[in-house]
Amino acid sequence: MTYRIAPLFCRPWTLNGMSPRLIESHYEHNYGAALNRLNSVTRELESIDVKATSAQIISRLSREQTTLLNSTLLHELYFASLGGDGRNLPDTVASALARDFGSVDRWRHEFIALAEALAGDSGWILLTCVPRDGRLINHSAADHAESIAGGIPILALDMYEHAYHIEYGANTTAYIAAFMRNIHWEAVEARYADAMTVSRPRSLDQPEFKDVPSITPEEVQEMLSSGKRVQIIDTRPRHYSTRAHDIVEGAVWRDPERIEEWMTSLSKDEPVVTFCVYGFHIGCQSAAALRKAGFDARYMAGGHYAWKAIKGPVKLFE
Amino acid sequence: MRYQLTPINTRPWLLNGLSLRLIESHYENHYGGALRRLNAITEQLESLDFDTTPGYVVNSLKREELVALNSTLLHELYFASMAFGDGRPTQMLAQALTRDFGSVDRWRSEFVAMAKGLAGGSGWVLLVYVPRDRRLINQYAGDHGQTTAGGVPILALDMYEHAYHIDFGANATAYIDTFQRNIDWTSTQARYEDASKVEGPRPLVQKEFGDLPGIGVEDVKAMLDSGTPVQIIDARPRSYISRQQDIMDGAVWRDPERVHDWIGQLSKSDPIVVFCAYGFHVGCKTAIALREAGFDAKYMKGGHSAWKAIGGPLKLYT
Repeated sequence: MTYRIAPLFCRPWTLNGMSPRLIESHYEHNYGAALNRLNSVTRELESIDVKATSAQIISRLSREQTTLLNSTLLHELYFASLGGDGRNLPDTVASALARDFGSVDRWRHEFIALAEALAGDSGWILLTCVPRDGRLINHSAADHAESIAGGIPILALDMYEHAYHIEYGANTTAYIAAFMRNIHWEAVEARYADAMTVSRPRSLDQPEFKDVPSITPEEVQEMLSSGKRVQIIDTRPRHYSTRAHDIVEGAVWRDPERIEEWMTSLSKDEPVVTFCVYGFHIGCQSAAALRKAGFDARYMAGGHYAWKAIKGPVKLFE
Repeated sequence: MRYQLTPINTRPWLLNGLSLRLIESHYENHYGGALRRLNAITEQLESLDFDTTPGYVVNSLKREELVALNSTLLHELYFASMAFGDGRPTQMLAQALTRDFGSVDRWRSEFVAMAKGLAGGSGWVLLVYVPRDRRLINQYAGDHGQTTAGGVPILALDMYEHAYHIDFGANATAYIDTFQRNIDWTSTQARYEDASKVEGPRPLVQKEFGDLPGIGVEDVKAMLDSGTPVQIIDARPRSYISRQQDIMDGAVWRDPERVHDWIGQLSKSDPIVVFCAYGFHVGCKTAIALREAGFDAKYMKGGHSAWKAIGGPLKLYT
């Protein structure tokens, strides 16, 4: 498999304060070299006998491949980030930046501060869309291989010295300002629109309990700390709880197999939250049984371990 | 903004050869720890004044944020990568793996070799979908921060020692085998289907030349290498070429402003490839003029710069 080259995305002669010489050298020598090396490494990986080659060699090749692939992808994004007037942000991008950073101005200060903070070190500054949370984030990557898992970068500033030294010497501040003046916001807007259509990572699906309402551990913690009245029932199975060291502070343990016996001690005036070890069938079934009997019951998503993972308070289970 | 916890995405009691204790410790301490750190760092970043904060403080916080966010995302994917099953890829994935790696076996050998290649070093081994080339690659991450830019990871093997030491001690080979047995191919297929819908980076669009056929630099090189007769015209503007040192080997330069002076020298029986500096209007317009005169002309995408970027042969322009 060969990775094919992408034509230069920006019109170098239209850029403001960046010469064609700089862009040509960057495209030919740095982008081009990354792509060519990517193809050599890929060919080498494809041709070796994976069973007869030592794992170290495969690992080294694969590591090289990651670096080169990312250098290729990020350079293409860099050239596609240039060519606009840098000032007029389309409304969709401006409101997305305001939503996730407070204001466009704050976004800009953060982005520039990240670039300045590299202080002569190489790296990338990226604006990336995170599908998991449907939000934008700025981040710096100290080498080509660093980026957000499953994130879609939509704006890239190359802070390797090859990106500016020909023209700016060590004056990174001037280079960063020139980059900001040349950002192609319409192209960023189009990439943002594409990125927002990416599905978020699939959530846990329990179709058999789709009618049982759940509550997150963060929300339960919020209820407890604000003093809301709530009855919290730990329904981890008996064989599990006998070996458990701890229990959610504020919860009482009840045997899920004897729900009919303890159900009557609950009040119908206050909401009930049940949970099991990890948030699968036992907590859900208990919540469903309580709802059937007329209680306002929900199960806590993720169960006891989600509570512990957010560091919710626990006490010794005796 | 707060990142919410995701409930554990696998039923730990069904896993084959991985104990509840291992998974619980992993989820609660490592996944939970990463998410809590991520929220603490995010909170700190949100309250920062980027104009007055020293660069090294910004730098270290943003680096920590990247590591914590990716650790969160990859751990969620790791748990979602495992379930009770037979460890055999679904038909759709078997086809995809065969397409991109030669065979399922070869994919597996490469993936396992990469994990073993870490040889006790920490890291991740990921199966990643690359929208740019619509293909899967195995990717290695030496720390949480490394992933493919704009790639969508669909399967994750955690090779940090916390992922296996409780059950396996230093026997990483046994852990890697166990992971293979537990891969949830059904949910991996669902993630693959989601990933396949992700648009690749937007290609360069030149609407005004929408009907004009272009040719990739790789294809031109293949024509030259195989001896296919082709007339290659370098049509970079005179103002540009007078400052240039090199020209594509096999091309002749012709002034794009005087097409009618030299058009008579071309043959109609061999195809023509014409290009300018970067592949924008000059080369395209020249190709159009030639086509209107009845020649089989195409413009070379990316122009002279793309030719140099793939390392195509050049000679001195005299």
